Amino acid sequence: MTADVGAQLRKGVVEYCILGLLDREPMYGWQLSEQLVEAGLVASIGTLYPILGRLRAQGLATAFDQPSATGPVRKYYRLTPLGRDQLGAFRLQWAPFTASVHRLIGEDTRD
Amino acid sequence: MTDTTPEITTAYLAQLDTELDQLPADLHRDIVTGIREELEGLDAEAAAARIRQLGDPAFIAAGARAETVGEAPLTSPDAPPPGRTFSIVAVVVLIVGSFLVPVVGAIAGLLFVSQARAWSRREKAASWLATVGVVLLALAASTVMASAGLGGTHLVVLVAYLVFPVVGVVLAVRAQRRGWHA
Repeated sequence: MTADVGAQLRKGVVEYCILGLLDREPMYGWQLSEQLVEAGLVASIGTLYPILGRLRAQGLATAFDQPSATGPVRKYYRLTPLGRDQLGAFRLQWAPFTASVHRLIGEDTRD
Repeated sequence: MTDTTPEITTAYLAQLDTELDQLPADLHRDIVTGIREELEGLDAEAAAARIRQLGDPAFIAAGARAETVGEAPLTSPDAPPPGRTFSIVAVVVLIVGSFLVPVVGAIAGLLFVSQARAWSRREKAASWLATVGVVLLALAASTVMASAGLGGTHLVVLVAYLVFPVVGVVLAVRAQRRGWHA
């Protein structure tokens, strides 16, 4: 049992959160990093890229270059069909999983 | 990168490049490219603001390292680092190949080293610069000596050629000290 519960929880879900963001629209590194840092799911953009590398290696996400309207060509990431399937499977399990955990640990009723 | 790139951007990217040096080459490239894209086209003030958001390069590198280490459970702690055999073969080709097949063996060894995972990009670049630089200098010196009617030109080239196995030994020692990890 580790003291840093938050880190363990984040580690378990961060990849699916990235898949969830990419399911809305293709995004580039900084876009993803901004949202994930704000949500407290990654510490910095440095944490994000190894995860993106794993998602690509597993065939769940893919990258492509796209010129932006005002700036340079950016590398965007998007879901693959396999990534969409994985995200769908996770969504199906997430709600019953959190409900089960909640039922087991209950509310903290101490003052 | 153009000449109009603000100094703060250039300095930040250079520091980031240094901090990421020990990471796998693909990851190193992805992070630097992603952050460069984000800073490109920004003036000094906007770049400074974005750099504050991005954070210290050392912090970014530490995050990447920690996340990369997190992949370790897929292998046992005693397992050799990936690509170790290839790295050992590369350095052996450089040291022994230089003698067995002069010139071709040395160049093949350097090409192998460039593909190996036991050395950083900086070490690989330094290996090429050191070997090619010494050999070119020796060739230039021998040409000057020959035109001046001096002897010993072959000896100069032969001694300079030893730079290949010497660089190979240095690379092997460095890799061995850190367990054949880059």
